[in-house]
Amino acid sequence: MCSLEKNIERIKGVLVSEDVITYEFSSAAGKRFALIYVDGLAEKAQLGELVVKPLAAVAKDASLSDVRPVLASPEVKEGSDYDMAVKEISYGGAALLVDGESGFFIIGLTKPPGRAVAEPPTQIAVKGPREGFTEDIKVNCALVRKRLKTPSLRMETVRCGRRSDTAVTICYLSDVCDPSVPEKVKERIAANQIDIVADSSYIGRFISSRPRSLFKRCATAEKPDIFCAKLCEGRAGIIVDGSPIALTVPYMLAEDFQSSEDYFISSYRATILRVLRVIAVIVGIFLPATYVAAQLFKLQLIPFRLLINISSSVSGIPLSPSVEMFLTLFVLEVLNEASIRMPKYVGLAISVVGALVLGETAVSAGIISTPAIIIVAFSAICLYVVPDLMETTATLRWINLIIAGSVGTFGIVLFACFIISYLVTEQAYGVPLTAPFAPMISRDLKDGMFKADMFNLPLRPEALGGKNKVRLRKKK
Amino acid sequence: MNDSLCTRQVCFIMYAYPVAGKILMMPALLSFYCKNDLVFPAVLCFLAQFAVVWAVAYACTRTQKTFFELIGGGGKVLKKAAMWLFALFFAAAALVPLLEQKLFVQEIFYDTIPSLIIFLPFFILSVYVGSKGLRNAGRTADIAAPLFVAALAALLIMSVGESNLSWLLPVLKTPVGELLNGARSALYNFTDGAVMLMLMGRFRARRGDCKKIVISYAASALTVCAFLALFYSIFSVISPDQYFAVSKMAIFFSALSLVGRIDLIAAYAMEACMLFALLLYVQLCVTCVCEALGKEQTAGRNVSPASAAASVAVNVLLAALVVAFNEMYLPVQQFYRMYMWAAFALFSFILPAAGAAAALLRGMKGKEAGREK
Repeated sequence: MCSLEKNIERIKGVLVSEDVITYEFSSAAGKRFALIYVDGLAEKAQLGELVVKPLAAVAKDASLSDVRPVLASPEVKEGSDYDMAVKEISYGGAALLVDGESGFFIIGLTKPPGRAVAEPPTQIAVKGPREGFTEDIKVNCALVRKRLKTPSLRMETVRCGRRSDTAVTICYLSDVCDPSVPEKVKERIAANQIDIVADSSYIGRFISSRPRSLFKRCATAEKPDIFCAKLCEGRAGIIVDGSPIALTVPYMLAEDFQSSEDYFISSYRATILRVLRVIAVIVGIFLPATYVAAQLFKLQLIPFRLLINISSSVSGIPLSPSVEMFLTLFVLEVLNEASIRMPKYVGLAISVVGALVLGETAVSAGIISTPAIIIVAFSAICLYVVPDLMETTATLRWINLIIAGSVGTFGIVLFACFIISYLVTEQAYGVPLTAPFAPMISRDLKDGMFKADMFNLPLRPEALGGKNKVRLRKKK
Repeated sequence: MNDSLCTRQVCFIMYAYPVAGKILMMPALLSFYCKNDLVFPAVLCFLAQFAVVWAVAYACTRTQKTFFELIGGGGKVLKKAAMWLFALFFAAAALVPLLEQKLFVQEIFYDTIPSLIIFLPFFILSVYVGSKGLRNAGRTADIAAPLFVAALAALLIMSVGESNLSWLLPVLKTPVGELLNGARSALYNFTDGAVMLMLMGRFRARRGDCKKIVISYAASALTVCAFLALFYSIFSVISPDQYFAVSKMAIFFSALSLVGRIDLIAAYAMEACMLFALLLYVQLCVTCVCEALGKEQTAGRNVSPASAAASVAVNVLLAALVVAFNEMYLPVQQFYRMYMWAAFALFSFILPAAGAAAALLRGMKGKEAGREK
C-alpha cells in the first residue's frame, strides 16, 4: 500500500519549487486525494469543477478504477511512472494521486498564459485572412486543423531542448508530402539537443543542411493560411511551442518573393508586384555599391545631368565616396537597431532625431552628401519589400559595398556571379534553392516570377516532388 | 551515364556560350582580314563546327557513354592520355579569352585603365566554380542564358538605329584566300565541338533532343553572324580597331545622353554570361583532370578535395599565364592564330567527329549483336 504522502514526496522530491502546488482534499467517504500542478499553467477553476467537486461527492471508498468514471475532465491519462508524472506536470497537466494507490491520473487541463490570436506584424495582407499564430502550440495546431479538415493531415510531436523540453509539431499531408521530408526533419531535430529552444529559429538551424550559410534553408510563416497553403503544396510544416513563427520545408528562394495576397488578387497585378519585389531587392543590394563604384571608377554610369548635381552635392565632402556610404549605412543600421530595441515612445523620438535632425545636420555640416542619404534610405526601403530575406540581403549589401569600394564595378559583377554559382547548386531537402529558375522547371514558372491565374495552376509544384500532383479539378 | 545536366541546359550552353565567346575580339579580327565580308569566314567556321556539333549531338542520342568511356576500349593509357590532352586543351583554350576578358574588364569597368590586380579576383571565383563540376555549369546556364539573350537583345535594339547595312556591300569582293585566312585566324574561337563532346554522356538525350541542340547551335551561329553584320554596318572601315564592340555599339543611341550609359548595364549583364562561358573551360579542364586522376568531383553534396585541388592547380596555372602575358595579348593572339589553329582543328573538329563516329559504330555493333541474339 502506497500512502498519499509517499507518492506526493516522489513528485515533490523532483519538482522542488514553490510554483508546484499540492492540493489535498477528501471525498465524502473520507478517501484522501491530492492534486499536484504548476501554478499558472493548469486551469484551476476547471480542476475544481471537473475533478475536485465530483470526487468530493463520492460517498464510498473508491479505488483507482472507481475514480476514473467520476472524473468529468475530457483529457485523462492513467499512469504509474512517476517520471512521466513529473513531465506532465511541467507541461501544464495536473497529477491526481489517490491514497493507497501507486497509480495516478494526469488531468489535461492546461491553460498556459498567452496572448490571443491576432494579426501578425509581418505577412500582412490587405485582402485576406488576418489570423496569426500565437506562442501556444495547441492554439497554433488548432488554427491549422481549422483550415485543413482532411484526415490526411498528420501532426507528429517531438520534443527538443534538454531543459526546456519544448514541443515541436511536424505537420504534413500524408497523401501529398514526400514522406522522406518529415522523417528527415525528425531525424535532424533528434540529432540536436540544446538546453533551451527559445524560438523556432533554433529548430530552423537544426533542420538545415547548411546552418552556417548566409542563405536560410527553411521558410517562415506567421499566418495559418500561408502555412496551410504550403502544406497543400506538398511541404512539411514545423510548429514550435513558444514561437509564433512556424517553419516550412523544403524551401525555395522564390517563396520569399511571393505574398499570400498574390493568390487573392488579380494575377496581372500579382505578376507586377512580384517583378517589383525582385527589382526592389536587386536595387536594395546593389544600389549603394553601384553608386560608390560609379563615383570611384566609372562616372559614365551616372547620367550627365545627374552627375553635375551629384558633383555639386559631394564637393566639399571630406570623405571618399566609399567611406561616406559606409558611414551613412552604418548610421542607418544603428538607427534601425535602436528604433526596434527602444521602448515605443523613445523609438519614435529616435526616428525623429535620427532621420530629421541627424540627417539634415550631417548634410548641412558637410559630413555626408544628400545623394548618399537618398541612396541609403531608398536601399533600406527596397530591402524591406521582402522582409523575410532582410537578414541575408542586408548582409549582402555590406559585402557588396566593401567590394565596390575596393575592386569597383567588376567586383560587383564577380560577386553577383559568385552568388549565382553558389545558389544554383544549393538545395534544401532535395529541392534546389533556385528552383524553378535553375534548374528551370517550366510548369513551376507559372507561379515563379510570373503568377498565372488559379485555373492555370491545376498542379502542385513539380520541384517539391510530392505524391499527389493535382490540386485543382474542375467538374465539367 | 552521369546525369549532371539536362537537354535544356545543354541547349542553353550551346546557344549562349558560343555567342558570348565570339563577340569580343572576333569581329575586329575578322574585319581586319575580310573587311565587309567578315561574315563569310565566320560562316565557314560555323558550318564546319555545326556539322561536328550535329554529329556529336546525334551520337548523344545513341549512346549514354562519355567520350572517355567510349575510347576506354582502346586501352587505359589511351584513355588517360586523352583526358590529360583535353584538360590541356581546355586550359589553352581559356588563355586567350582570359586575356581578352582582362582587357575588356579594364576598358568597360573603369574610367582609367587599372592594373592587372583588379582582374585577379576572377580567379577566386574560378577556383570555386571550377571545383563544382558540370551540374553547376548547367544550372548556371539556366540563369545566364536568358540574361544574356535579354542583354544582347537590348544592346542590338539600341545599336541597330546607327547601322548602315550598305557598308556590307559589295559582298564577296575579298579574295578567297583572305577569307580562308580569316577563317583560320578565327579558329581559336571555335571550341564548341570539343565542349559538346565533353557534354556527351552527361545528360540523358532522348529522341528529338539532337534536333533541339542543333537548332540551338544554329541560332547561336545566326546570332553571331547578325552581330558581325551589325558591327561592320556601324563601324565600317574603322572596324578593325574596334575591340570590345559590345561596349561601343550602342554608344550613339540617342537616349543615352539623357539617361546615361544604360547600354553598359546590358554590357555588364553580358559580361556575367561571358565569365560563365569562360568558366566552363575551367570546369571542363578540372573535370578532365579529375577523371584522369580517377577521382570523383563531388563527395556527397560537397566538393571533393581532389576537385578542389585540381581547380586550384588549374587556376594557379592560368593566373600565372595571365600575369606572365599581361602586356602581351597581341603576341599571344598571333601565336594562337598562326600556330594553334591546328590544335583547335584537332580537338574541336577532328576528335569530336571521330568520337561521334565511334559512338555511332558502337551503337550499330550493339544493335547487330542484339539482332543476332
